[in-house]
Amino acid sequence: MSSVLRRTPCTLIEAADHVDVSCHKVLKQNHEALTRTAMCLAVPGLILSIDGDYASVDFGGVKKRVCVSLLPDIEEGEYVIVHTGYAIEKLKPEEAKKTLALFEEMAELASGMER
Amino acid sequence: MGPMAEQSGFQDARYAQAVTAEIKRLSQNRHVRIVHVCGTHEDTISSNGIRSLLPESIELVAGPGCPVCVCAAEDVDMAIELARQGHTVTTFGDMIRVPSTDSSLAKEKSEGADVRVVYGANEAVKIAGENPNREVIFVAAGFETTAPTIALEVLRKPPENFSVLTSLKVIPPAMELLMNIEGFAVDGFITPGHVSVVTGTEVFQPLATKYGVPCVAGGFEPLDVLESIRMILLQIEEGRAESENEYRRVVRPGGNPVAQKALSDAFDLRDAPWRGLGIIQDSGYFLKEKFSDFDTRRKYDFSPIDSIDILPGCLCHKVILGMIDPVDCPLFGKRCTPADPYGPCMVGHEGTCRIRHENLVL
Repeated sequence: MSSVLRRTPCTLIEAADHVDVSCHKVLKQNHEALTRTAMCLAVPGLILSIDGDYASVDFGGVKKRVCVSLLPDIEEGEYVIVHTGYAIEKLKPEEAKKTLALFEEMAELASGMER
Repeated sequence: MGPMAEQSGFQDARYAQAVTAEIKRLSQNRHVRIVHVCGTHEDTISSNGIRSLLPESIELVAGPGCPVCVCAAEDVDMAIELARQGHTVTTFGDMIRVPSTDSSLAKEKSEGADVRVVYGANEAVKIAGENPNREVIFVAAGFETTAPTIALEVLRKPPENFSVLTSLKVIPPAMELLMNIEGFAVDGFITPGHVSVVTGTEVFQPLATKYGVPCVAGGFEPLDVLESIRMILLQIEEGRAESENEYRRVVRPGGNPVAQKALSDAFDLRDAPWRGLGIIQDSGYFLKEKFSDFDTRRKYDFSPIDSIDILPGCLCHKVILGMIDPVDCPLFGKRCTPADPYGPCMVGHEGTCRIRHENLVL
């Protein structure tokens, strides 16, 4: 089945070049994600300001009004995962770092084995 | 480095190579069938060529994870009938093109019906508020991720002219259905990350225990999917069957308690029809009786419509169950295309056939 796939692992390699927060790819991805209406899709955004049940959220340059009623403890400056206009959970950078550290460990072990 | 940059770390090629090497080592040429139940996972898998990175012995299959695809024809037919009666029908973008028994909401719209695409339930409520003389129906299709947003709006006392036609489903019963199909072995589940945000990972433990099947809640970057596969293989290797969490940066083990409370305040779980799969016990969220005024089914008296879930020749039910690959359907890319979908799996961005079609070698 894999032979019919157009985009191959090179997508991953390309992606590795784009790690800056302001990079075009992330912006474009977020913009595409926002304009799509896929129902289980949820995208990360930064809380700029909160006004009652709603917050202004920055999705890599695109600002949207988002309902934050499901996250009563949310604060400005935190990142949230947004689904159909509702923030459903906080993004926890420290957990992301832990997972990435695990990948780094695996990558180092793998390169160690090659040598 | 902010979270956005970290997000990119989950697309890193060097990490992908390392995790893939681990997957290869753990697979030991065993045939392993891993099923995911989320359209967004299929999108990540197909658009990043994840299958081509895996050893041949590992089969990665899309299960019933597309809300548009599993929305029963009777629900769409009801929405179409209400649009024909002159009411305002609002829904998510992908829903309007879903072919039903003899029409689609898009078709009705082109013939003059008031059908509007909204981004979320709150937009539908807003439309109702702005149009007090019109009945505004929100066709709510989705899983546990979407259901709390609808619950919130109903609990907030929307305008009287607003009602919800729920087609909201819970995923564990559908996973259990897969486990009971003879000749279709599931060796591991990648459970949907954003469903798990709401429910937590603990809800999958009974299934993992009962059937001895590892479950891992996965995120939606390429590395998330690869790491979920690695975690499943590690469980198999170690003889464990647990509900684990790969998507730790977002999913809490207990889920989101506020969302869960909204769900239990607004809905009862009852038997629900899934397109092509039939009725699954306790698999649908239906509004509690005290919210009858906002329940489209109770508000409008309907004579039963003879709905047809699967049109002649369509194999969507087999695609939804992961029993065949979309390319094996004789209609795929011929009678059934994204521009002119015949079956529901070719419609939306989460439909297995649509995703496969978009990622074909042209």
